[in-house]
Amino acid sequence: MEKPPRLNFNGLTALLVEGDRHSVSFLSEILRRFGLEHQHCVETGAEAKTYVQRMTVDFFFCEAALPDMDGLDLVRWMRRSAPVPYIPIVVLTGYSRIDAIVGARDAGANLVVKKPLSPQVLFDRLAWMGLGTRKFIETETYIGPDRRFKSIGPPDGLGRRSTDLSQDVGTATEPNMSQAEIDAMMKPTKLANI
Amino acid sequence: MSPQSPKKKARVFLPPSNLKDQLSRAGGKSRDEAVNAAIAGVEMLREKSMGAIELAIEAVEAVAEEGTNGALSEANLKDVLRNADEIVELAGTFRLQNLDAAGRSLCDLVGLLLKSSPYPAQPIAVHARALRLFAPGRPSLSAAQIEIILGELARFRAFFEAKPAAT
Repeated sequence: MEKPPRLNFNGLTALLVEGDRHSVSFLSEILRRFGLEHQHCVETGAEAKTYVQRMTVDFFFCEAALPDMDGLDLVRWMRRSAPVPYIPIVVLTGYSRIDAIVGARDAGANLVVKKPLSPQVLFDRLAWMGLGTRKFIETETYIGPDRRFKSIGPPDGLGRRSTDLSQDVGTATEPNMSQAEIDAMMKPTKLANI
Repeated sequence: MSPQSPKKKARVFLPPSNLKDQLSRAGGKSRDEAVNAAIAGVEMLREKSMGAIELAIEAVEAVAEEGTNGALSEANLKDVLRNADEIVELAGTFRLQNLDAAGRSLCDLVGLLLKSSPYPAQPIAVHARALRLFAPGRPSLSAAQIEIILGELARFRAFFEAKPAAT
């Protein structure tokens, strides 16, 4: 097993866009204890837009539901119109906004983290996001990180389970199937009436 | 894809970033060090958070009382949802399992109620009572009592789940 990474957040900056003061307290405290001391907190999407137009940030944390706009619209704006559109974006969702998970992914967020925040989960996600080399995709309808995970999975040592993508399946015991055999398996067949 | 509507090809690229180099610099914290420090930091917010839970429960109770004539407005329900979400977050953070379960039940219930008006106040009032019973500082309940309370909350959800949504 690969040695877990040490992360040095010293000198990095984060923008926290969160309308709920308790949530922002938890997030801010957790990040501060990780060593990410430079934080700027704003409550609304409008304030966030103004801030990123003037300042650069290394991490962008955004609540899915903001007082003045949908957080996912802010993510889309970040990807389309912000001066630096590749900033890692983490969307935070409350229990009642679980539906925002898919929406956040499709808006271009790097990660979605469900509240209540867990320091373990947050550290792992930040490590995965910061140390991984995830490509971006730009199309007419989407700008953001590549959403396809099946081929690469999380980086070594950062999976949720020690067996993630590292299972030794051994050597093949049977010859490879032919394309015709695979096609036959996929071919829809009508079941006989019982 | 038809030749009449050519689509712009997707651009796949590695965005310019020095984040990996910055995070990998010497120093920093290991996962255990960072997580333990963060847990200690969150623990320091416990007292303030218990006060916030109390305020959120009071807010839910106030809305439930407002609807003594039997009905609530959509704004009332959204207010309840905001407070219930906060209760779930705070209770989950400090592992107040029963309060967390009652808060989640309230979130689910409001989601169901919002599908069709009129919006009855009674299920909110019952959930508010459950939140109060599970609030921090209250005498602890037996496993049987907890099961009965959570079971009753589930019955409300089941009732409104079965109710057809307004068209």
